[in-house]
Amino acid sequence: MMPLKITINGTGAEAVPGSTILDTLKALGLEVPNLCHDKRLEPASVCRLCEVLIDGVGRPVCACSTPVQAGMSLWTTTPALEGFRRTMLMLLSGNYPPEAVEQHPDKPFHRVLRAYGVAAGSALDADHSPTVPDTTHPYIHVDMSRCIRCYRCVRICETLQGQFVWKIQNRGTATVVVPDSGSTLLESSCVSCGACVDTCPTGALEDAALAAIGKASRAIEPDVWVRTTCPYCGTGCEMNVGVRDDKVVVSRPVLDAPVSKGHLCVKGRYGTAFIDAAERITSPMVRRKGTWVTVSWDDAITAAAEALTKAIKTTGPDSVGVLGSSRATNEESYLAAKFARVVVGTNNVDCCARVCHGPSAAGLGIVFGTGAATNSFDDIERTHAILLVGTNPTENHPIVGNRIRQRALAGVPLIVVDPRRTEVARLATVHLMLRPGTNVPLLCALAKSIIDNDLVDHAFVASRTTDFNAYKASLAQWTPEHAANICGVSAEDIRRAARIYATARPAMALNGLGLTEHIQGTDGVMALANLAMLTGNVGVPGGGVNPLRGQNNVQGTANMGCEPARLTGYQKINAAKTLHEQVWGAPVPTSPGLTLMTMLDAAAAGQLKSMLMIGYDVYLSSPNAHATAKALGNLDSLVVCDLFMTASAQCFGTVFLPVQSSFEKDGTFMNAERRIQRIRRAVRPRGSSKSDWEILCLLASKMGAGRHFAYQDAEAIWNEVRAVWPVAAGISWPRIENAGLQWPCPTDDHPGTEVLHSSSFPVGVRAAFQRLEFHPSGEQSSAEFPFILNTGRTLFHFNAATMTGRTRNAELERDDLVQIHPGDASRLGIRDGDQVSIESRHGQFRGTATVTDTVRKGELFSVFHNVAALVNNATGTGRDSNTHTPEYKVTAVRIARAPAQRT
Amino acid sequence: MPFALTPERERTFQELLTRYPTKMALTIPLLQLCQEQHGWISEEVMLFVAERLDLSAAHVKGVVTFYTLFNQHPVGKHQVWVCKTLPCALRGAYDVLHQCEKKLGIKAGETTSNGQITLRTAECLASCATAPMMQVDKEYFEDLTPERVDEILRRLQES
Repeated sequence: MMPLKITINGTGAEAVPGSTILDTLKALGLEVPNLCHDKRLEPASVCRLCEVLIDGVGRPVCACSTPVQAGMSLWTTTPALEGFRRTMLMLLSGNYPPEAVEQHPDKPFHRVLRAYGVAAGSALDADHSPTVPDTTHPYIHVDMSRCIRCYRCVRICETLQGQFVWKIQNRGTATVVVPDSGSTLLESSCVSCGACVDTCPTGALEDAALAAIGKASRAIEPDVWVRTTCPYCGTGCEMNVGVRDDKVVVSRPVLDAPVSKGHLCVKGRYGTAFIDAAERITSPMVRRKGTWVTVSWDDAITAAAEALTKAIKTTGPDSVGVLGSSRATNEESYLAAKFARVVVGTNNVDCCARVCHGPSAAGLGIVFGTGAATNSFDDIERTHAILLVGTNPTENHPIVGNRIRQRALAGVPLIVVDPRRTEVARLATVHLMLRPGTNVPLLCALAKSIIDNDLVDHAFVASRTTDFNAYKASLAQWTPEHAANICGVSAEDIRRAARIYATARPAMALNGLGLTEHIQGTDGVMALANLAMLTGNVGVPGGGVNPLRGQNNVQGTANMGCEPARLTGYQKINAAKTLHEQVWGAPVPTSPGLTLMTMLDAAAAGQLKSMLMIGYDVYLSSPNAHATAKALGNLDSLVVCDLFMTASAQCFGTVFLPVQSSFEKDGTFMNAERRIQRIRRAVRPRGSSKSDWEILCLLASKMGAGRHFAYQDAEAIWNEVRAVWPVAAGISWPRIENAGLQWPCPTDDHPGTEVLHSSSFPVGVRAAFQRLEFHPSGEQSSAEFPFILNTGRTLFHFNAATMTGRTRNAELERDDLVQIHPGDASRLGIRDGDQVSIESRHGQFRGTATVTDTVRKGELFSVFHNVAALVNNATGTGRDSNTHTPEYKVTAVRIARAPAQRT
Repeated sequence: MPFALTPERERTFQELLTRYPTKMALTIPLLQLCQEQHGWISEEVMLFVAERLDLSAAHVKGVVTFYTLFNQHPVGKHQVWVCKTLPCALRGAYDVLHQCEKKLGIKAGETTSNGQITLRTAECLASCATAPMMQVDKEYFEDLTPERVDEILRRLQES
């Protein structure tokens, strides 16, 4: 587009068409003061400070809300305007606490006051009595005596987070901003994302940690800011961490981050205290006569190498298992996979994708040929309808969830398939509240309804698919009525959902573990892929099938070859063996490897002798904990690399190698939309901890394979990844310095790929519809076990709580909640907050009851974050037939009130 | 005591529910129904509205405290609004107001001790051509003189 010619203060200038006057002034470095504007928000013109004069326009206009027009002649700093601004600032600051200006000199409001020489608190009727800040919230300090009523907090909470916490009351000078509790922020519906703090121009809302430092030292700005990627879920939000005295004191969203676009959730924003938690282990240890003894790194590496070598020598390489970490970097996971193959000589290498999205990768791999999300998060804004299957994104992938919520609030049809009435379900156009374990019948019935009502995209089916007729025939039994009966939903809702999904082109499907953690997990994913093909929603912007990956780098770790049947880039061993052997200079073993679950089986049977467990608490997180304990207890040696003494290490570890957190090292993560982004060292490594890649190199060297593991730094490892994975060869560290790239990106000038399968699939031009049979779960409710237990996560805690458990998040929500329907609760005499005991035929755990209609009658939902509760005592033995992914989502149990004291 | 709508108003509310896109959009109509019944918006009324519309009480309070037509305190049976915006002011609005205050024995913003009449001032009531004017309940009285004010108030007191 041609730039517009305008005049600013009598001088010619150019402006981008469609931009505002304020954008234009900023771009030219001619800023006018503004306090109510934030580029993440729509302009509000509340503070009026950015008013400018336009020749021929009778009165000043707000630069923030006025678009530039060709030929405009602007005046930004006339004496009259400056006088007006000074007057406005005097009105804003007349009753403002002067000490705040001194204490937080860099707040935007305070800078403007200084620039205009306006003293705060100078109104004749200024109230100088001390105010009482609201300090109830562990992370957010509220002092509304510093509120200048710009409403940025109100607006950002509504339009970025979608939570609507801040409310405006009264009018005129009596206006106040209050949390929706009408009292404290802690009691409000606040989800602690910190967006209001981030946008507040005065410090009325401030990070509690910074407010505390401010009291002591007055100047509170961090020494340095380091841009990095969040270490929690698979969304891939970017943050700037503020470091002061080698400590991460604050984390703020990166405004121009391609994924998170200037937002973070409570975990990324406030979940960094684990870095310096007291329990962090920073020296290597070896277990001697049952007791952990601190040793030198050399002794620890020797002990680990000897343990692994002993197993290799006596019972063969396939008696050793390696588990990569989904918390580690791509570079480290690549080395873990390479270590298993080259140093140990086995394909027994896996990661926690096994217990979460293995079926997504497998199912999408079978149908389309690529086991990853077909589209990008930006497609959420391009789509015309959203289908969510078994995902609770506002809690588990909050930044993605917020974008979905904003679309739903804007009227985009939303279909939610979930046994629970989650936040997104409450916003849904159709909520299919199905019985756990019945995704396949439901998705098949949606397909049949689409076909029967002739809503099929015939052109796509004809040109891009095969096996349609056989598929159509296979759906014969899945009438909406038949499925409705099995799923416990209404047939009419199935028809409505089918019509919405099929007629809104494009429509986008996203799935979570509610689709995968079943014995029919892979079938469920393929059923969803069938739906997308049926409606032509593959290979188009705003469409696709998109697994929301659970951990920061779970996509990357499996993708880097921590998968028994796959090498780097999720390439099948046969297909990529030669290239890997060329680059590695070592043979790739060909004997089939064990998955995590079959490793545990083999350990229990005495065939697997030694395990290297990197950043993964297998005992806490695997189902049927009694069986896991038996398996891990049977190992001769278990080498654990972790930040903390995990339950696995505590109970079964023999060598403990302390690692660095993601804030202490360099590398890359791969998010759920195939985007590779940098993480960067922000603080010095704690104690003598080492990065996982350094540890793997030391171990390899000790085991005689040092020549295959000689790397100068993480970037050198990444460059080797590019050599064995041609699809990503174009992604170099310099290219992703400012914004990550999405693979495929085969060459240095390739822009990366937002949408897969636009014109063909890796399996060919056409992909085949999959015919599916439904095999119900073995876990059915009975007189003895009348409830179905579903397990999952909550916003404030993360997985095994290794990290969030060392933050103040526990003050925001308990980590052992068990949801029960009010009808069931009153029948069993269970009240909110009661201790309850849940028992299955596999085992028992305790939790704290939450009485809520989020769950249906006869169903329970438990979070699994609490180490002591050990929910997985009760989960069962079911596994997806294709990937061995455990059936965490369906267990028949009974529940009863437990005595108040905890066991 | 918790607030509840009369059966007839409850029916009106249910009918309104079908006409609005979201429950939140009903905040003002429901508050008006409540005020019509209760005379003013008490804490209990705000809690009632919040619960019925799935909103926070703080949100409802924000609406109530923004719109001056919602009474935040008990008011009299009859409402007298004297317009005091510029055209009325130029034509004697303050004389009208003072006459009301004298006749009723209260100041603007207050309610007579028998709970019958609340006197208030209003910003423009959009009847400038017939200034000065005042509104009594739902009726306009225009081209006022102190004498006419006395007469109107006398009839109101007797009603």
